[in-house]
Amino acid sequence: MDNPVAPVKKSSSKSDVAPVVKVEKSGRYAVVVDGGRQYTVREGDELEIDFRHVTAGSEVVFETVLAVRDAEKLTVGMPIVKGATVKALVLGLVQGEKIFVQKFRRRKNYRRRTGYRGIATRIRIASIAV
Amino acid sequence: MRTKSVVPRLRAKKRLFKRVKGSVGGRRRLLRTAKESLIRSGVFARRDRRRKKRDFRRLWIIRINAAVRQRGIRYSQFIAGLDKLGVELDRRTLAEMAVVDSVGFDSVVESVRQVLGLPESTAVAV
Repeated sequence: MDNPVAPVKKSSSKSDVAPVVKVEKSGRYAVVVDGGRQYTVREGDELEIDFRHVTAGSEVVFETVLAVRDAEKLTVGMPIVKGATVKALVLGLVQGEKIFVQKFRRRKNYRRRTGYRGIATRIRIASIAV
Repeated sequence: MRTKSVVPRLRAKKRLFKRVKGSVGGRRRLLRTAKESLIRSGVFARRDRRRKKRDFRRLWIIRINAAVRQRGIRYSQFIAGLDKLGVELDRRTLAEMAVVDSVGFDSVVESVRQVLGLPESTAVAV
């Protein structure tokens, strides 16, 4: 891949750590780990995970599933739910909005300003299997 | 011929003043002050992107504490119980679960209660 980053539409700039807590019917969901972060996912969800060297159309499999919720009950792994996997379809790579990293030290004649655009992999959750 | 830097300078100023729009007083009118405040704003932005992670963790802890106290145990007991069970769900996940899937969260609290040898949940103690 020469230029893996397609200039896809702007991703939502809101970061990884600020979850939008939507109150909705629980339904089926799973908690998976990727890149040191936990994602609560439902089938059909689209989300952005850390950059992976994958092409659009390929598949990502999450083996570390910490919890699975089905219609009846929540199965919590200790620490993982054995045999459970979550599969996702890779939609492509997206670049985040530009962040300017400004550093400044007073009286030290030190000033830095660099731009940064993180690259994320956009995926759609295909299946949650136990 | 001597080149003057008037036009580029004016453009640069214009760009700068555009970015400090909405600031108070001299911060949007005076060149020097505007420049300074722009740098400071950048420094604050960088600092707070880092601080945001701590802030949210604190918020999640508060939410989890509230949720587990409604179910009759304390935050510290809850976390100790999860540790003992080997559950590795993080605070963000748990806090969200408590809101979105309160029934599922009930069952987590119940298994914590069992591993800690606490009696079944009865009263609501806050």
